[in-house]
Amino acid sequence: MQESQETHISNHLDEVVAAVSITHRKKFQNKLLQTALFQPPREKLHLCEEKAKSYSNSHEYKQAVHELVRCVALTRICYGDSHWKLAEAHVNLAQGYLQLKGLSLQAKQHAEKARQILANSIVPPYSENTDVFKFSIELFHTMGRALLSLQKFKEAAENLTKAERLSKELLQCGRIIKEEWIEIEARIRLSFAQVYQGQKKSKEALSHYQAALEYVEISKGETSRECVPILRELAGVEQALGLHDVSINHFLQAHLIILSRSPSQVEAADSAHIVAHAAVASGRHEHHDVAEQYFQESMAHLKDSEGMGRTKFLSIQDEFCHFLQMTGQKERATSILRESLEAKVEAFGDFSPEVAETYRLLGGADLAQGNHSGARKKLKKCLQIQTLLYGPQDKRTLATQQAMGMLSTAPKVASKPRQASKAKVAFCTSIPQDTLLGKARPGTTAD
Amino acid sequence: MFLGTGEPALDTGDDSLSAVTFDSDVETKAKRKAFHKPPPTSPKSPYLSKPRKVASWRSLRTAGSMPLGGRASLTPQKLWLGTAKPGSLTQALNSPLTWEHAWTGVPGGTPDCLTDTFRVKRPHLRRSASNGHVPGTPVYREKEDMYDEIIELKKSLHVQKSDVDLMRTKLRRLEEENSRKDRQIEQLLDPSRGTDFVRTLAEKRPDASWVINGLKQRILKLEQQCKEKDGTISKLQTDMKTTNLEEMRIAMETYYEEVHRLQTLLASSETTGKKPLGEKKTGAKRQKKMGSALLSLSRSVQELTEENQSLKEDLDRVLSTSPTISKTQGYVEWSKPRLLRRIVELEKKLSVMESSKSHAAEPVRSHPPACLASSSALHRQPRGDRNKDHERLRGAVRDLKEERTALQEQLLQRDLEVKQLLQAKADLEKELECAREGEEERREREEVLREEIQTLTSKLQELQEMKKEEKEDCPEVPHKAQELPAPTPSSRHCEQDWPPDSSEEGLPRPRSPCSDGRRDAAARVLQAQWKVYKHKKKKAVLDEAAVVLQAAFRGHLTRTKLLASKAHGSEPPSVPGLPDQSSPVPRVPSPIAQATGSPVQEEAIVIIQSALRAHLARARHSATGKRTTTAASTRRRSASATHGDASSPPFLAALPDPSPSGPQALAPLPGDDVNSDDSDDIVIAPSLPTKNFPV
Repeated sequence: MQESQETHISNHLDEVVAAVSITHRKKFQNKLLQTALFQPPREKLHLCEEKAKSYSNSHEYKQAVHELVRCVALTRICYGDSHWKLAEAHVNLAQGYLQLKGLSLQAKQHAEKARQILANSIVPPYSENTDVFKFSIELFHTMGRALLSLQKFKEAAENLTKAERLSKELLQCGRIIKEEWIEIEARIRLSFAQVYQGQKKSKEALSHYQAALEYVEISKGETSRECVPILRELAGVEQALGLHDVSINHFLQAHLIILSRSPSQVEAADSAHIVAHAAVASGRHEHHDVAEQYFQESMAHLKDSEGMGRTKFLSIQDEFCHFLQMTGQKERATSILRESLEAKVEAFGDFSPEVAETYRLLGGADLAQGNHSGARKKLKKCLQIQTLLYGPQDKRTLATQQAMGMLSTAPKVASKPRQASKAKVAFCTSIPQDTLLGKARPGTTAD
Repeated sequence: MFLGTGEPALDTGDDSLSAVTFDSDVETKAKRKAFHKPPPTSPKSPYLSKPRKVASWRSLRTAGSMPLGGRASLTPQKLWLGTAKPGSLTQALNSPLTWEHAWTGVPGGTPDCLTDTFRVKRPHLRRSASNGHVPGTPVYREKEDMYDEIIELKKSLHVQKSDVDLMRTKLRRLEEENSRKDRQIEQLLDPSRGTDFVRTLAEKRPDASWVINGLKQRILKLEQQCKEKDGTISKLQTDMKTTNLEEMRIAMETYYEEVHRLQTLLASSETTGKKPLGEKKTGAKRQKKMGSALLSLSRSVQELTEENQSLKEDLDRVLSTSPTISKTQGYVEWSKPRLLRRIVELEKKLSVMESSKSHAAEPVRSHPPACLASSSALHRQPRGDRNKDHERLRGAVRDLKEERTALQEQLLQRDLEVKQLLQAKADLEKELECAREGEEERREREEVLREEIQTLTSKLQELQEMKKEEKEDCPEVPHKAQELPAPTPSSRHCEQDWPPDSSEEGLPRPRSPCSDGRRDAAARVLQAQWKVYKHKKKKAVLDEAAVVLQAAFRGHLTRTKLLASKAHGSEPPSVPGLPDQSSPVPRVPSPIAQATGSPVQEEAIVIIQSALRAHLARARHSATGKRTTTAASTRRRSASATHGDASSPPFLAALPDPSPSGPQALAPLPGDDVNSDDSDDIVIAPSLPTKNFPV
């Protein structure tokens, strides 16, 4: 009895002393102890969630994923293995992986884990927790996007359909408001459109893109930044369907939105380049002025930049030169290429496809003008580079060899005008093929 | 080749060893045959056992080396030797076994015989070697053959080396020829260039262009390698296994943090739990002492906490009652006894605080034994508590002292306000005196009015007598009655109608013979005049009252203004209050009032001037100067009602009144003049209030 009383008294005394102590030092020490000892996992979880949001807002996706993984672990500590909060944490992590391109498998894996946890954890009564349903919509939407990235379009469409149906039910039940539903519907429609685009069903994709654009304009405004990617994708679909005028208008609309937001030089140049590229792709004569205007604007933005901007500038310049050749302005294209050759060697290196292509084009131009020695030099240089890059048996290398072979026979043929004209015709025929290749290349780079 | 030469040497060594063993075996056989007859002895057996072991060892060596030798050698001679040697080995192994059986079978011999046999064995071995038995000849041949082979192989090696050198030289020559031909081809392919330029290119080109191109190619290859490695790195990073490992690592770190946190919590709880355990271990007496000490400490701590709470409450109350703008006003409103009560309460609080200090001292006394008994940590904490309590009490005392000073200041302010109120009372008393003087003036006026009434009554009597005489003469009564009521509404009309009445009276005298009509007419006339007289009297009284009230009100306004200005001026300094108290004489405030009310005085002056001018104009029309004196007196009364000088003018006004009544009684024509004087006085009275109102 005495021992128990003593222990009780000692505990009471400790409590009293702790309550009475008001010294600053003791307060500071207590604070440190509290932060180390008494901060429960829930507070840490809250802090991690805030950190993850701030990182994702500042586009530091790797660190955001790191914090989201910690959130999953802490959620497991707080709520156990069979709680819907853990499933929600997994969905958030899956979304983080989707932001980092190339990690779709991980996103899918976590989405599946979340679905399993949710299936095991949901018990009656079902109708008490609206957050569970909202999170379920996010789950299906994220799964759909992950499958879309993995090129599994059918399954993606199924998941997106589930998400859409669930959101409609919640709207009808009054669990969510109209504005919230519009926001969710905009994202689902955009994902649907991307699925159909992947399946090459352009008409369905077009309708869904239009719906998504409409919803985003309703919720965010017609001049918001969120409209830009939708406008561009919509314009891409219109290009595929042959609606070039509408497509260019949508690209211009996106470009104007970007300009109104005071972007950086690189952003403005990219936007102008996209418009110019669309105008060139349409192949119509009335769009040539638009193309030239926006090529000039794009190059003007990047003219004084260095590093990545310099390489981008040179790429756009090459594309512009191809455009000039197509439109019959070969002299102008040739002069621009000559001026840019040294810059390309500095930017891309001596042995690079861009330098080889430039030498080949310049050689063709010299040949057309009758400068055989210059043409021979340039084609030889081009042959050297292509041999190193593509190997001696590549078709491009062989084509250049043939051209040089024809050139070597030129002195004999010069005496006979007919054969000379045949040689010119051969070179002219070779140029269109290269231009076609040139068309394909920027397309791939754009993609 | 060297290795090849080495192997045959080893083989030759092995062969010699094997030959030696073969010879020894043969000798042993011969000895066995010779010694079958003599019997061996038991003490000689150790000598026999040793050579057996040596033989077995040697045979093992030869057996180990033979297969290696066989493998290395390819010549048919080696193959033959290999086949022969194992047969000899088997024979050698068999022979010692048979020899052992022989020795064991023989019962034994003398040691001298064994030693002799051993000596005999050695010369036999030598003799057999020199004789050149059949087994010795193949060993010799093998050696010679091997040496020959070695020499031949060396020769072939030298020949091949020379061939290799020749081939190398040929290759170099061919390469040089190829390079020369390439250069010639290039030169031939450039016919347009000059010979000198071609020479310079031939000299420079190969080194510079070759080196540069080589380096560029290397750069290109290295870049490609870097790209490939970057690709592999990115693939590894995006691989599922990598990300899963990363996730597990992060989760493990998180779990470890949680475990560490819990462990620290357990450690802290254990450390707290250890103290009572330590206490338990001590003796019973110590435990009791500790228990009592803890109880006393806990009680003291509780008391201290309660005292702290009470002190905090007191401080809050005191702070709430601290001097603020609104509360200063409250204190200003409070009376002296309230302030004194507040001071008493505060003094009581101070005494309570002092008593609390004494209470705080008590735990200090109780602490020393507790400190001795308790641990250092417990010892330190109470000390901190005591210091804290002392500091709190000192702070409370300081606050209370500050409140005392504030309250004293409030008392001073209250005293000042009291003085101001006393001054106000004095001012009010002065006003009362002025009002009394006003009342005296009113009484004097009433006396004057009574005299006027007497004069009027006398006039009425005369008029009545005249009417009686006229009634006796005139019979036309209804005409007079009709005409008389018309002039009643205004006194002026009555005055104007008197002459036409007299003329009419003359005319109806011969006409009216009836006396009753005359009497009725006379009564009616008297009644009308009496009514007019009453009306005039009322008007005069009202006018005088209005004038008095106005004067009093103006004075009051000026005094209130003075009080306000005095109040403002007196607050910061207390000196102005003293002359106010010391100067009750009314003359002193009057110049102040005049100075402050200068615009009012100017207006009054203007009014006085205008009235005087009007009076002068009227006096010119009237011949007598007495009228002017009466008018001036009335004006002076109205102008200086508030001043003491007002008492003298009414006396002067009373004196001229009986003198004009005398001439009236003497002559009937001067009676009309008297009437005109009365009319002037009456006219002046109503005009004053009309002028005064705008003022």
